[in-house]
Amino acid sequence: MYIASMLIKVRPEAARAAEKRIQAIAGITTYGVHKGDTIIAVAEAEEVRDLEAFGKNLMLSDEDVLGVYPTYLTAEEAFSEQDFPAGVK
Amino acid sequence: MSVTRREFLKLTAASAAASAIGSELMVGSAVMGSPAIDWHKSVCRFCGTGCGVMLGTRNGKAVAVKGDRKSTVNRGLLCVKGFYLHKIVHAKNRLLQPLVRKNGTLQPASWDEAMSLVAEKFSAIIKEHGPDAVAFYGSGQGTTEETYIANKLFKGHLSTNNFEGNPRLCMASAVGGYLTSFGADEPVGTYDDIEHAELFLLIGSNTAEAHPVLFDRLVARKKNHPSTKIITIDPRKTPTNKIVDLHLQVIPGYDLAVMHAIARILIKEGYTDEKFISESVTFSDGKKKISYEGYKRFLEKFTPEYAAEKAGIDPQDIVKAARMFGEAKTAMSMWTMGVNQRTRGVWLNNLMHNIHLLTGKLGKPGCDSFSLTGQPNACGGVREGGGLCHLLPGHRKVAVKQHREEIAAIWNVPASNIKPKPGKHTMAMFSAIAAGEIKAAYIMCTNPAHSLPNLNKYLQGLKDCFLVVADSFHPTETTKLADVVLPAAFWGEKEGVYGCTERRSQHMAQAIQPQGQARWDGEILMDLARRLGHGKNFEHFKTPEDVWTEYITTTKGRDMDLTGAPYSRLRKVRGLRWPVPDEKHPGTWHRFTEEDPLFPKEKAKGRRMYFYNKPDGRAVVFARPDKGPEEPVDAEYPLVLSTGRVLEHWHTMTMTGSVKQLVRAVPQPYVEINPEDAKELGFADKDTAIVETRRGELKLMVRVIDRPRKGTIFIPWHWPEKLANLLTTDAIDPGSKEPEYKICAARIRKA
Ligand code: SF4
Repeated sequence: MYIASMLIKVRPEAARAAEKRIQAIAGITTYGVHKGDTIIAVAEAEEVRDLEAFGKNLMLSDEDVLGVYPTYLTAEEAFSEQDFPAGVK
Repeated sequence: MSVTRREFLKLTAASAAASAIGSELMVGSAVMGSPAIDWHKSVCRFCGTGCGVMLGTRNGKAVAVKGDRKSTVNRGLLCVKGFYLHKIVHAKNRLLQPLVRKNGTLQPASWDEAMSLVAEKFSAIIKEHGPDAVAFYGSGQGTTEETYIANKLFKGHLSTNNFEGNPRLCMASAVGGYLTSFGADEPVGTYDDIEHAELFLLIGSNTAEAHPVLFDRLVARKKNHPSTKIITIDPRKTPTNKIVDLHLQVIPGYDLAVMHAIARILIKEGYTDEKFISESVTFSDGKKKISYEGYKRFLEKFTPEYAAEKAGIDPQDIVKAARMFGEAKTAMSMWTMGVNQRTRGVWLNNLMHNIHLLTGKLGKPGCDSFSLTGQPNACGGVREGGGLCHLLPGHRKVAVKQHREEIAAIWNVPASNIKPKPGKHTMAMFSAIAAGEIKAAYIMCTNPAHSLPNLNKYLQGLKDCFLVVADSFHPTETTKLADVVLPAAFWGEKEGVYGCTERRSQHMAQAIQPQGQARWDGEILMDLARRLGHGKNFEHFKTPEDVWTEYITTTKGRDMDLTGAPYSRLRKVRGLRWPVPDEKHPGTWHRFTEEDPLFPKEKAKGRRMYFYNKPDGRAVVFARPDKGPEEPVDAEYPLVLSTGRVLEHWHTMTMTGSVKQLVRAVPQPYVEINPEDAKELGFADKDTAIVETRRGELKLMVRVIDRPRKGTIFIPWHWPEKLANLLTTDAIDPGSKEPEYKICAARIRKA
């Protein structure tokens, strides 16, 4: 499973509404609007194509979205148990 | 507290996003630590922006990628292309062993067998036909060290200047523009100017899709300074329009008249900086010096009405654009392939510089005429490293005796080894291959059988000549034609330096070992040098650092002095912007001003800018004719065809195309048609059409969309199975020799 965080830059006046629309998408968790115009979102997907399609579609189809900027990408399978700190199961 | 691994990784990812914008999440992995990852500082290798990337490894494998927060270029952000870097390192079509063509098919071979064959063939061809029967074709994706070794081998030891690189196809016109206008290649300013500009003029650049991270800096500038204005001159509506205040949707190829009309208004309405003009500017018609008055007379013809009629736009929009530019205290122009890939690309570059010179909006915070680069190391390895047929390292020319002597001394060869006559530029090189004059070619890290214009003309020649291709992936359109394919280490598997758009040289660490039998390109080239009997002068290159150390000696005292940027320093910092003449020097924001360590104060005598590579220290405003495209539309081919890049793909897909997910995201090649044209021609969305030019035809899905202007169609050029370059023209700019990919005449019919 791929896990990717991204910053979604939106028009400030439409930030809350945009976050709601994005929250409703399956596999996306949002972490609030920051600095007035930036939504932090984390996507989980079986395929990177879904992450990519998500980003692209947002940029091209949502007038309030001004940019989708990945910040971190990893895959759950890349790690084994001992790579995680205690308390992570 | 106990969380699942998935939840933990999500929080880690979210925290990385938050820290990129200096925010904190109330929940986060910070309290628990992070998964065990070794992070390596690197640079994205997908475009010329130069974003800092951290490549995460675990047990010798790339496991994660994140934007580098410490990078002043991208401050932790990436675009979707950057996301795929670690995937590509382990892509399924990675080439893992050498291949040699036997009985018509490429078959696995040992390194020794492959390299012996390459050396034998090159030796025999040089012996029989002379050194100009061989050629090298490199790339703006190779590291500076790789291009330097190849340059030293081919120009210095094999004595051929048939040495080119794919930046010829994307930015040679920008080089020509900078050289003719300012006397020296590469921009005056840097990205820092973005944060000071009141106005941006984007021309021939879909910044949102082609340079997304820079687009974000424009968005941020507008947010922080809402009075900031953005003008775009572009035949297409693109996502960039989301933040644009004025769009001049010109007919492709007729923007030279618009630029002259803007210059005319700037002068007539008093927006010029007369002191700057009198001190630092001279005028020319391209053949001889003219007076300021003569230039004004030349401009008389370019009324808004004249230019508007040529470009198919409203004259009032030209007036508006000129006034916005004139009234803004600071202004920055940015452009890319829409300006460069033209038969008058150099001239259009000159006209962009003109308006900055006339208004003095150059060489101070927020002011620059700034060409954006398409590839990550086109500026570093090829422009600065001398990776074209007329250049030598350190912004030198083969035609200049002193330059040949200086480089020959560093290369430890007789100066006579370096020929004074430039070799064949890219299109001439591939024509010579097609004609059988060049009999062997070494191609490194690029895919010309996909990216050359008017491809049909050149493919047979590539099949017939002895073709060696060093690449990380197979098959590509070019490796399919090769006699020998050599597996090259990919990004992350080798160390090196990239130089990006803003004169910034950045070091990339090696994070993992090369996959399979892949080798560093520099090592492959030095193996070839040894086998050709020239090993001695390469023996001291044990590591990429050794190569860089020699390379920077070629820059000492030059306008692109990198003496102060050895590996020991580059490993610690997020790049340095030349000139950086010593290790204490912080790098340079504005060239040709007092900030520039090469600024000759005595000669400048109080002038704000002194263009020291021009004999009189003055930049040139050019009165260039407003020539249209090479192949205008006519009754037979009534539509303008333009090709270009979309967000999901990069160049010729040898990298991004290898990630199947990315391919699936834009599953089918398509042609964009304006709704009005579609109605007239009877096309509906998703119909199938045949697009035809004088050079070939393609069957494509129709995408009816209000992006191209009426009368124009657009094809993204990435798909190997639908090569847009079968249609494009190979007409070239006579100055830069860059082909006019952006404009040709076409027609379309139902399939
Ligand atoms: S903008 Fe260019 S350099 Fe930056 S992440 Fe995207 S492709 Fe890479």
